[in-house]
Amino acid sequence: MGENKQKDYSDLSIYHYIGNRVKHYWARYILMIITISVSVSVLTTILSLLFGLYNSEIEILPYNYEFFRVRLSVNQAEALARWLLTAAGLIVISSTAAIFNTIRSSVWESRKDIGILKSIGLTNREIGKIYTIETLWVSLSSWLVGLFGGLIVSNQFLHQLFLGGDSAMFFAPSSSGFGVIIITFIITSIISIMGSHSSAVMASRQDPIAMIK
Amino acid sequence: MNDDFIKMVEVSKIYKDGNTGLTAVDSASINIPQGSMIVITGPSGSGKSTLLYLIAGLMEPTHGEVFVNGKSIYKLRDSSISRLRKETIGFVFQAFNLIPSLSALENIIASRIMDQDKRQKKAFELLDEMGLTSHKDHLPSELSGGEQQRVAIARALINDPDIILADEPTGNLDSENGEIIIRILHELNSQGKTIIVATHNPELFMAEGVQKISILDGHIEIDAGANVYGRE
Repeated sequence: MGENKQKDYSDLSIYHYIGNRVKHYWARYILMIITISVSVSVLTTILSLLFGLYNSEIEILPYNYEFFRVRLSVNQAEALARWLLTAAGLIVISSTAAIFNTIRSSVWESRKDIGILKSIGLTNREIGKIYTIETLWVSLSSWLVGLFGGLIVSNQFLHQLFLGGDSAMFFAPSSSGFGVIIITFIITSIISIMGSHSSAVMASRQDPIAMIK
Repeated sequence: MNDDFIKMVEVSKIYKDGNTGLTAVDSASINIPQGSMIVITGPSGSGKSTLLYLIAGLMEPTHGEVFVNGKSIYKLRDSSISRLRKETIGFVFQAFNLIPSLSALENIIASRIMDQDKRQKKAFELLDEMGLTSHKDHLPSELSGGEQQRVAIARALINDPDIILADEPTGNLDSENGEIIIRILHELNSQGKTIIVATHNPELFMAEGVQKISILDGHIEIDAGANVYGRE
């Protein structure tokens, strides 16, 4: 009996620790996933629009282009594309900032647990590893949710805008779609690692007691 | 027996608060022999806890050096001071400081998260000694104060450290649970562990061989005849 009980706990690992945290602080993680997902959705939508304009969809612009029922000339269409590009740049910056800030404050909220782990002998590197894995796990889950939402929105928006309601391209794989997937994946991963790393560095500079109190 | 097992040389800790500073420990110099049991006493805010944190490698001093077993601990690299906290020093906090998302057993072996050997046999032995076997799966929020403190002691003992530091270990407990904790600490001392307890109730811990250090406004006074010695 005793042997069996001991075996039950042989897997107290980083993943077990993270799993317990997610179970215990589920509301915090749901909020975090929602925040990051929304940011990823916005990123996905805006990048899809840009890719759409500059790839296959742009070809229809010079001939019979309508933007909210206003017929545009080639010059006007190009001006619209430039405007969208500028707006996209700003949105990309604010979305990545939102993801970075969410990750950072999430790790920072765990500073008491980090302080306890430090006080019982874990190194800064070990703690950094735990929280980087946790952050990547949460942010990549959020990326999947956000990507799905963003692709639905952007496809709907794109076909309404450019194809007059023809649903042929809805969810159809395209080079634009793959580009958006890869770019949002890279942005989310890099920002998550930067966010958790910067918090871990900030935490490591403090005495354990300063973090626990 | 190492007479300089724990040595503090002119150690000060000043807490900065804006432009002002509060001196919690002022030029403390003490030597604590291996295997002794020391009670640090003094009123609230006198610097007892700070002194323990400094010895435990949990808080860098503003001035001075702390040696444990001959090593100046604040000159060690992060990995070395972490190993010291893990293997040589066990710390028991007044507020327990258990990780809320982990069960009692998981809290006890939390320092082994990254290790292959989780020391589960030892953890179960400690749970048994602390009378907590039936509570092993309980979260800290499901345990009483006394039970949480016993989990915290078991956590401090999991790596079989030579030094146990306890900050007001009975401070949040009723008298019955307090007596259990005091008995456990005396038993550990009789097994050769160096025990240092910060408390404002020294009489609870005093017994034959237990030595007392008083601290007031960051200044240390050592009782005459004590084996612990300070420097002028």
